[in-house]
Amino acid sequence: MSFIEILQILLQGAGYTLLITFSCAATALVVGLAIAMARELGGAWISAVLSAWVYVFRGVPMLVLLFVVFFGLPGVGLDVPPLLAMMLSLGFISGAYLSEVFRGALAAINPNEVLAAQAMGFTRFETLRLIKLPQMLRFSVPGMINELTTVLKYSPFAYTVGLPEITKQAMALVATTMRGIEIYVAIGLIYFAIYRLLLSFVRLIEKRYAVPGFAEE
Amino acid sequence: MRRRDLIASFAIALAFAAVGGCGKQEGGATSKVINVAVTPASPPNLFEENGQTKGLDYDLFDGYCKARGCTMAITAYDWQGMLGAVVSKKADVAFSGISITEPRKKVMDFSKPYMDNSWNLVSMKSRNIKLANLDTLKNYSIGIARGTAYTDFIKTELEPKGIYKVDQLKLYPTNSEALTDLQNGQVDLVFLDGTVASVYRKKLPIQDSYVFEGIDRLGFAFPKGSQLRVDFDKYLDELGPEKRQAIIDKWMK
Repeated sequence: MSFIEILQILLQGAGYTLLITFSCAATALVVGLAIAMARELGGAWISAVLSAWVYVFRGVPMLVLLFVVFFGLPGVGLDVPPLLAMMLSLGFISGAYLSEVFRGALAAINPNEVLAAQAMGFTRFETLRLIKLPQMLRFSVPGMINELTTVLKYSPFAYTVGLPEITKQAMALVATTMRGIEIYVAIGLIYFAIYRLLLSFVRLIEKRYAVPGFAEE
Repeated sequence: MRRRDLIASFAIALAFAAVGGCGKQEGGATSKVINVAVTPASPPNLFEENGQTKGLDYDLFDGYCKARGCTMAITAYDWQGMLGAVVSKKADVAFSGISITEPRKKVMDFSKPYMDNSWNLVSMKSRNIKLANLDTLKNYSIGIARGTAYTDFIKTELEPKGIYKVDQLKLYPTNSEALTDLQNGQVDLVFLDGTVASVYRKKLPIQDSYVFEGIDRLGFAFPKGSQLRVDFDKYLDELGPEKRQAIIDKWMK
């Protein structure tokens, strides 16, 4: 079996890896944004609840949460399909991390701009939508790329719930061929290629929405 | 290798206790499609070749399905996921050379043992290490995959008799790494399941230095209270020991 053939077999799982990465990253983005916005708009009570939420989801190990969602919820009558289980575990954990990235980005916004907006009679929601959010998203790009990469590298957990992604192909192949080093090198190359793809995609968006002179030294 | 997840299965059991653990009763032999959970990294019991699921365990269950007119819907999980699928009743049966152990019996039902599994201490042929008994074992370094039942075996059986200390073991993530180090000459002996050893003997210049017999038996795993298990046991009886042995020999020889 040549290295190219190994790559071909492994690539059969690449579609699932991409699907898992994108759906979990999308979930994380929605969850992270929702938490960040609710923290901004809500009162002290909501803020405390969300802090507790973030605390729990940042602390719980991925595999534990995945087991509880996928194998535990059927016990109370909720049958969760594998991809949804990944979104509810990896997506939610990553969303908690992202919300902290967003919190940091919000703190970096010049408070005088917010003050000026308030002086102009902007409501809290308008201030968030027009002043804070556009800057926050741009500030948090490096943190978001980090988090997206983490989601990609956590995607092999999907094999635990029966999604045949790249790592599953690799483990099945190693077991019959005993050529672990070549196969894991191949898998590393594929993950690197996907990472590069994600990076280019994010850079493209970053460029598209770049404001000249903003956040540049 | 097959027991690396004692902790994991325990964690699953805990997770279940936490969420209430009640579940729907599955149809058993009456349902025509049987949800099967496997780990295709367990040759010769179960593996994949050109995208096809194959192996000793597959042949046995395929025989059952042909006799009873059912079809298999196979999902590949990793080892922990496969056991979790059975415990949570997502799968009706799991097979991939699963050892019957006491902790597992608490959360799942097993079929009758369908084969004995030995534990082999293997070495490189070039070293020609042959152990007639265990007296000289302590002079060699042993590599094992982390979390396997071998550690327990050494702690409870060998250490009290002064044969070998758990501290002397070299631990590796999986068999593959242990065998790589064996080839590199960093470790003298590696603990493998008999089934696994039979496969690797064909791929690597290794030999058995010592074989522990009669410790380990393999079974098909079913959810607690499974009717399918009762019928499958009946099928194993119908099949008889000769035909069963013929299937085992086909894959082991």
